[in-house]
Amino acid sequence: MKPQPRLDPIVHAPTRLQLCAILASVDEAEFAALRDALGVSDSVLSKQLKVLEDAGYVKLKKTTIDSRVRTRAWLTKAGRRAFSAHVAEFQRIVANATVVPGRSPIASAPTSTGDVGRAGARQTRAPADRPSGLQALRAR
Amino acid sequence: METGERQSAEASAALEQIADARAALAERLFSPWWYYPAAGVIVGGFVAQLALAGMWAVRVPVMLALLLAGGLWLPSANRKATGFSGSRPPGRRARLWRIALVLVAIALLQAGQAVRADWGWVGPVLLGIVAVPVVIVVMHRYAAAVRADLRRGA
Repeated sequence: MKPQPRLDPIVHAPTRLQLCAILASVDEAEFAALRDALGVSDSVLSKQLKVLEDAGYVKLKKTTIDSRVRTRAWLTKAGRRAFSAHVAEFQRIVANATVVPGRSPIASAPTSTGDVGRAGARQTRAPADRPSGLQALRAR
Repeated sequence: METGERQSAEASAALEQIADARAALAERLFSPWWYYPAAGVIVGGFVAQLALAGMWAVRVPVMLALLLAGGLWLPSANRKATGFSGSRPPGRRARLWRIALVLVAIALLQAGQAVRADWGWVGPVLLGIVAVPVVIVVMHRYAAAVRADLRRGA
């Protein structure tokens, strides 16, 4: 089933977006492999994984193999849904812009949850002032 | 730049970031050289064990060993080597190659039973040997399709 397009502030940050893109393509990944694929430091990856874990989007499991601790990460169902919806919203924005060049694709966008939902709730303003999901995320 | 254009540009940039991440993953999804021969030997072993028809005392442990090797050891060893594990094909091309792999395995087992009836124990053993390179080739194609689908953003 296609997800309802929806921007998610947790997924939106560039590193987390790429992290989710990789995790959505596999069942699970080891910390070192993720770090190398993303080209980030251990601390950056730890921090971003923690944000996703706190949001319930990622599960982490540490195992000791040959006296070395290995951390494995995988996306939860909620994480997969959030990432798919986020990507679907980007695709919708790009598709709308392609169909009607120059016209704000967000203006008639369905509302979404979280901060993006708050942006949607402000849609009683004049259309020209209407903030988009992307604008709301940028404002964070 | 108008708001709509800027949003579209931002969304395009984000989609490019996602494509870059998937491409980076594709570059790392190379299994060690022994992975494909090992898979070939396991499937070939399954075909060859048909030669042991009726010898259940030998056949059952052989089947169990092959099942453990194919179902647990091989995926685990591959995960340790690549750092990633995945069971769902990322796109249509990979899905087709996975179906091809399953069909090849089923066809080999069916053929093994047929040659067992006609040629005796030699038939499954020879077919098992033939199965090894066949499985290696199909699995290489599957892995290449997975990488291609990831790069293409399927």
